[in-house]
Amino acid sequence: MDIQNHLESYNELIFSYFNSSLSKEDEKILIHWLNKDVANKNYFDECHEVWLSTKLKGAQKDFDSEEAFLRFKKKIKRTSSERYLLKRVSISLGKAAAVLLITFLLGVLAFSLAHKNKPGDLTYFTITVPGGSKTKMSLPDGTQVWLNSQSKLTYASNYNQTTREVKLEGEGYFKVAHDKKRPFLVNTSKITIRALGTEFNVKCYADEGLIEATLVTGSVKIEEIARKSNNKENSVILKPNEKLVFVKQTGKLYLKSDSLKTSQNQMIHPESPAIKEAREEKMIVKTIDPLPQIAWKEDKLVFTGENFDEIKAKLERWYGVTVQVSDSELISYHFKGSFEKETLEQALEALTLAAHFKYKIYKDHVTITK
Amino acid sequence: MNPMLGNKGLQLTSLNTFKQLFDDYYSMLCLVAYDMIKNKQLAEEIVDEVFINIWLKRESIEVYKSIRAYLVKSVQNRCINWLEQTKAERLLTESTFDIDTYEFVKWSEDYPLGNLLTIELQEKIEESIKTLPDQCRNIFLLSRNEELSYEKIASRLSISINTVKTQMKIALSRLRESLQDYLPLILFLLFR
Repeated sequence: MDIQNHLESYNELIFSYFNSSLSKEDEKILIHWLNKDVANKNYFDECHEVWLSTKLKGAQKDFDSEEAFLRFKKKIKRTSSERYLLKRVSISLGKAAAVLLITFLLGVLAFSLAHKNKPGDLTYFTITVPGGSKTKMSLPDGTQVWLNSQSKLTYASNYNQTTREVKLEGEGYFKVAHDKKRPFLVNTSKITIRALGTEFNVKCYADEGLIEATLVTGSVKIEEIARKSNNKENSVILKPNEKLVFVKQTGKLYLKSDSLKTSQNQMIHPESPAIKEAREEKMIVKTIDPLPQIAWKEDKLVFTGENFDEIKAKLERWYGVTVQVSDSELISYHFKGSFEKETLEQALEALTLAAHFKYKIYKDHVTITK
Repeated sequence: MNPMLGNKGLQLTSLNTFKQLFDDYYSMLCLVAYDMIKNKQLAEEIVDEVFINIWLKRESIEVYKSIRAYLVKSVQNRCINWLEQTKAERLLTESTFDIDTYEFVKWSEDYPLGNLLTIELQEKIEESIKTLPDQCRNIFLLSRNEELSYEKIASRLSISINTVKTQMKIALSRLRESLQDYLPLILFLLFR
């Protein structure tokens, strides 16, 4: 048998494979044959290309490149570097405002001198997620990040050189690529979370009084930023299924991390007694079920007994709307439940079944009355 | 020939370049991803991520030879990562899934991706399909367009599975023959 005929005698197996119709036994034969000779694999690749090419026309309908490009543009719009921003600022200002611009640039320079060791060279990448949407992205080292709505993640061009440092405002879930040499740091306004290769959730919205970090696997070390500079290090090491709550506004600052560890199996709640204690102690660690904490990443909106105030905040972020609650009595209501693909209206409708209230949706605004 | 496939490192800095990349390769890349992971939405997400990633790294990235090969490789690597990551759960849920074989769907390192997967050649490919014998073409189109298994094709056309297999085999040979000019010349060079 000549070579061409030999190759073609495998056409049936090859085509069955592309069509997912190959039996297990035949699959073994095919794999054996493919491993035997690189020419066989090349012939297989060639057939593969022929097979795929016949499907390309259909693929153009299934996978719309115009739409994809719009998605792409929208996404990168939120990902502008500082340099790019400066360019745009200078264009829009015009000549008359040149003096102002110079003052502004001096200000930027002074700011960067004051805050950076190496000014000038760093470029910053920022990913901003607007209300009502979520995004998943990969950092240059392969670390995966899910960002919840109204969140912002910033990293500099020196990411992954000696450390892997990001700054987070809002809520993010991090699946850190393992790298012992370069620690992965999430900076929030008050605390830093340090990890080597692990999965954890961080919630630090500017308009909330708490910062929360939930560890799913691995181990992370959490340090208070203000304390670090006072060289009295204030840190806690989290184990899986533990959640740290940091209270931003605190009068007193004494803290011993060991004495803070409790193992009550309950949700942290700003109005619960546990947190009232924490207001004096600032950092508190609890053992919890991490799943509800990270449900947002799977597109699930979960309430685990929060009061209406928190639910209002969650709904606002989730759906990108503003919610006004006109009756203060409603605030004391607590809810449990989980939503997956429900629209705002469906979610509200479900909540009215649990508690008697009325709602009105007008554009991006929801009014809730008793 | 596409100007971006030249030998110089590709300049990936402008948005127009990316528009061109989307026009030329987006559908093809999604198809490559879909072929591996059999999920249309996920395929698009993976390709979207590849483009975003290139955009973020656009100043440090250097692509020599072919941006197309680079894109295909990135997409295939991501698909393999995804398949690896979800291996355990899919073994539980999908009885048909086989963990050993998906590596083969990836192009081998020394296989130069030919020219077939370009939009310009689609007319030519459709023509080639039209020249297949009637029964052969019907079977082929059912398999391609409706992704029917051989069994289903056989029962729909009231023919035997063996006939389906034989006809598919003929279809592949014929198509390869008529598209020979656009395939890389590996086989020819290897066996001369």
